[in-house]
Amino acid sequence: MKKLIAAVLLALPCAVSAQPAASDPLLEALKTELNRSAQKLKNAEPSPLYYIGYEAYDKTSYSLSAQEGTVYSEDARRSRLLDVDVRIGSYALDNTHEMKGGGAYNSKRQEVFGLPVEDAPAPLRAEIWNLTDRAYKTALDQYAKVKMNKSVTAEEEDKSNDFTAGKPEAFYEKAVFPAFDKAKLRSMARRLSEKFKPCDFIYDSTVRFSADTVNRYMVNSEGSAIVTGNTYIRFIYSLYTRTADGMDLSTVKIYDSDKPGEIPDEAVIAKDIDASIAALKAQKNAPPEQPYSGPVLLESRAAGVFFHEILGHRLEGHRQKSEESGQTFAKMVGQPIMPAFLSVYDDPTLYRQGAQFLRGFYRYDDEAMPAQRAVLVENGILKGFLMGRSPIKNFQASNGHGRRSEGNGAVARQGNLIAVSSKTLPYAELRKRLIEEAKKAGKPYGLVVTDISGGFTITERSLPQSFSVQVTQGYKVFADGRPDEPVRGLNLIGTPLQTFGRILVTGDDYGVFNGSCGAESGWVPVSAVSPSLLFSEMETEKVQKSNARPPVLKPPFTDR
Amino acid sequence: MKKYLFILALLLPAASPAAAADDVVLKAMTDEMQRTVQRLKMDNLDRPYFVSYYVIDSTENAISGVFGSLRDDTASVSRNAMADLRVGSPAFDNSDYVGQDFNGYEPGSASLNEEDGYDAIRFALWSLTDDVYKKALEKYSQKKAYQKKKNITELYGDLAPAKKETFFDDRKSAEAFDADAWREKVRGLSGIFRKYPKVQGSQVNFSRTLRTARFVNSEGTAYRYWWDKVSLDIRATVQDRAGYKIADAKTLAWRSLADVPSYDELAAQTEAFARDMSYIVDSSTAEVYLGPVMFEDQAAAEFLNQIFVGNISFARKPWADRDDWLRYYIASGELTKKLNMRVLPAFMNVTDNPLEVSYNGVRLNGSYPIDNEGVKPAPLELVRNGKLVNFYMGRAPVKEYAVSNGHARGFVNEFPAPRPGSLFFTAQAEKRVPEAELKKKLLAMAAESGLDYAVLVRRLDPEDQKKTEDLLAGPVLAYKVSVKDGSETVIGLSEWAGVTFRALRDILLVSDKDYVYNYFQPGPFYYNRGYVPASIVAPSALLVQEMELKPTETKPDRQPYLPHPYFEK
Repeated sequence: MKKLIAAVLLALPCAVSAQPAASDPLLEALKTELNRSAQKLKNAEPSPLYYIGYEAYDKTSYSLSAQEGTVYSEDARRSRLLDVDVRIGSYALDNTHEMKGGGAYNSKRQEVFGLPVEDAPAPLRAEIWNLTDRAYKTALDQYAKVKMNKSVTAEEEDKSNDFTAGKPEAFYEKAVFPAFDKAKLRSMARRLSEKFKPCDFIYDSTVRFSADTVNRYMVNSEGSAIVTGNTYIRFIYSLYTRTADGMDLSTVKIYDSDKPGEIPDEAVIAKDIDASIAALKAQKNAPPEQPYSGPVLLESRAAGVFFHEILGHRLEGHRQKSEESGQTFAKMVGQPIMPAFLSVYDDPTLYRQGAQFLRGFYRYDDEAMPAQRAVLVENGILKGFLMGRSPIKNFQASNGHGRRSEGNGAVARQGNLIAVSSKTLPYAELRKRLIEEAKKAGKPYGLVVTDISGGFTITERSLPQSFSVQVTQGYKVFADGRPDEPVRGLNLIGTPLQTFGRILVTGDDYGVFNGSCGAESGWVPVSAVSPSLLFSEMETEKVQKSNARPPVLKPPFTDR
Repeated sequence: MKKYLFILALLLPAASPAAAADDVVLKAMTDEMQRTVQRLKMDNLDRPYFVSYYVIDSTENAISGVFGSLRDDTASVSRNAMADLRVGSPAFDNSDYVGQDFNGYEPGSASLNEEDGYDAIRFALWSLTDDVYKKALEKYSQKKAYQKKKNITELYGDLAPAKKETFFDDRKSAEAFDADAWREKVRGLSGIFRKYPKVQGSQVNFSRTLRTARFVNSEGTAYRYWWDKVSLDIRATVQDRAGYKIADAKTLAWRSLADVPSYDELAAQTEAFARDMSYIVDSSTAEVYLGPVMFEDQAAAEFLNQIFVGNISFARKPWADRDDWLRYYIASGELTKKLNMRVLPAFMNVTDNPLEVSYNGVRLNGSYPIDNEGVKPAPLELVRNGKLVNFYMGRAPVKEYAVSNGHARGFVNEFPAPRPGSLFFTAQAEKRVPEAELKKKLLAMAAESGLDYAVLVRRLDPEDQKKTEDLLAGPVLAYKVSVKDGSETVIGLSEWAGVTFRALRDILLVSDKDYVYNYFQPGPFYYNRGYVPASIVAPSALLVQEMELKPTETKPDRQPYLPHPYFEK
């Protein structure tokens, strides 16, 4: 673990604009309107406005995709969007309070406005004023509903406040949209997309490059003024097929960085594509899997996704007090929830894992709080939660995890979720151990899962607290030494507490999953880091398939 | 900002089509269509008897501004395909059947590679065709079952015969587009609202789109033609004293950059719009009114569009398992049931001629050489001496007509439906008078009915803003004209009561001047409204004998808590 942090601290992003905060017209316009609104709306109505915050997203993006050897789409965009957060009432009870009872509707959606992309103050202020007025009226209306709802519904179990006070923060560091050679990218995308063309079993494929720079401007009535930026570069390829029995199979490979120069060379990607084509073909020809229960080796990247889905989402602070939530872990602080050799924390301040860029890196969350490392599980014991500014019983303070995408109210979300282990084996040993476990359990094979897709994890109280994630890539490792066989059509299923208890040992191979996570506060970039995990037993079920038939004719290029 | 503009400049590929011979897109469409016709057959199920592909390329520059600054500045390229595939026979096939899935009632469409590439286009068309074929087979059997269940025996066929046509027209070179100059104009026009403190929100959107349409079908028809679309959309929101929020847009559309008037003229139009919107703020409260109404300019053209044109479009209604849903989701041509009956006053005649490219020097947006089904239009007489003698037809037969008259139109994501091109409304000379006289007559009629004022409407909400159950959208800019002194006062938010087709026949007198209205007609399907460019040339003012106006039923909003920062003293 020590080693990991040292590696991370080595490199920090350097594409930073040196412009002083005082001369940033967008920041100035936001501050001016914020001050006017905070002052004049504070007591404009009997229900006081006790907090107002603006977050403006200044985005520059470029994307390019190619199919079958030609450019499919190319797009460059710049936009500015504004979120206004208004809180009416008091820290104890405000307009964001969860509504309860039959017919209660809780949505984090809020109105978002496009601001001018140019810097003249008058147009910026006019639009900020317009959205502030709307947001204020909506908040007043909602606060009246909240007060009534609270007086007609039963007392809540967790009587924590709705919001915690924050300290004024000042920060200014803008990310600069990177330069890259578009003509070169186009030719590379064309050539790589051409590789899928001769394959008559590939029914869709895309090669895509995207670059996004987001500078977030946050000002609030607590005196904070923050400008912080991130750049995300992705290179993606995907291929898709359908089996004769109507099962859709696809492979997606993503290379992430914040610097275009770090995307692997064309030759490297081309080699990966060849491997993916071969793997998809093998998977397509594999027989559909029957439900299985036995030892499973979840490889590092898939294990990262697993921790993100099954643990991370359940440790989001606001869920611990929501009366709609299953609260798997709410009352387990101080108790073991996984083997003692595992610890888990979430640290958005980490910029890299070794050389690998982490998408979950940020300096400030969307509630103007500095990002912090949140210790979640230490030596198997649950220690705490991911916290935004919505306090819960015994956890009052934010640890900088209040996040959202524009147009949503922020809630506690993950950044870089990192699992570390003190009981490790080299990967080759782990595989041997899988075979031993299979033999021990009297199974003909053990299952290796190399990739899983998000699937779903149920956290609502009205449904069983289970999860189901789809195995998009994996294979059987036979006890009798036969060659491995790919599998298709499986979901890993279980309940979180039981499943974590079955982790026997881990690899020493920390792998990174970089992705986008969707929840009630929108889509946010995240990372998850984990070693490979060996489970003594895991259950699988058959996936639901489309039943649609493969295309009648072959793809035209292969039908000559 | 500079850097960003540079990025955009790099982005635009050449959108002009290649010469007919080496058009790889057209070749890919033709080859994949032929493979489909010859080889596509699943098990022992029907093979398609008819296939067509429609592909449309768009290259758009969109620049929008607010209050003197740019908000959006984008350049985008897209290419979309629609595939129509029929199983069964021309007498009865899978078309015009909604089934149970209303929001899925749209043709198979897909976006294709922006860049010309024979293999990529064929691949995408193949994938789309496979999907459309499987759906067509299912729809066909469901439609047959529905016909049996409902015992429908009056059938007029599903695909009318049509002549094989070819038409190829190439854009020589795209008109030069000076993006910087337009940025400056948008900044200037949107900045005009800085002079209008009563306007709460405003926006100016400029767009220039180059389009190329390609079509092939299995009967041998093929075409390619192009058109440009230039539009300026000016939007404003005001709140009247009673608290009603009124949002309106003035949309100007042209066929080329060369047709766009000077900046000064655009600025004058923006000023006029901002001024009109400001008047609304101090409007008088609407009250129930029953009496003569005069419609001017946009309002006169929209009156004719919404009550007349919309109802001689969309003659054929698809079948749906839930008949009652049709009422809510699909506009249908109510007037097509009144063929050979009087629908307009006897002194009026109407013709549609998509081949007419301009009128009095003004280019007509409704012109097109060939429709979306590959049928060439010709001048079409619609109304003779007030009587409806024709309505728009595509290749879907109805009881009255078995063949198309070349009016099947639609955007790529909707089934082509019979819709207008360029309409010409004319009236006998003795019923055409100068506007001043028309206004005098209006006041005289009001006085005769014992009214203190008459109503004059200068702007109506566009068609897509009207409620489904209404025939005519509410007025945005209506005035009380005093019988005593002719003075005008703006009326607050109001709507029509009980408008019927009678309103058309109640036109008493029209202006002696013509107004050219270039607009976009919304599609028939409320879930997914595609717009087609259309034109109306009609008298610039209409006097209608009697209409009823009433105050709106919507509730007002509270005024803003803080003053607009720019106008704050």
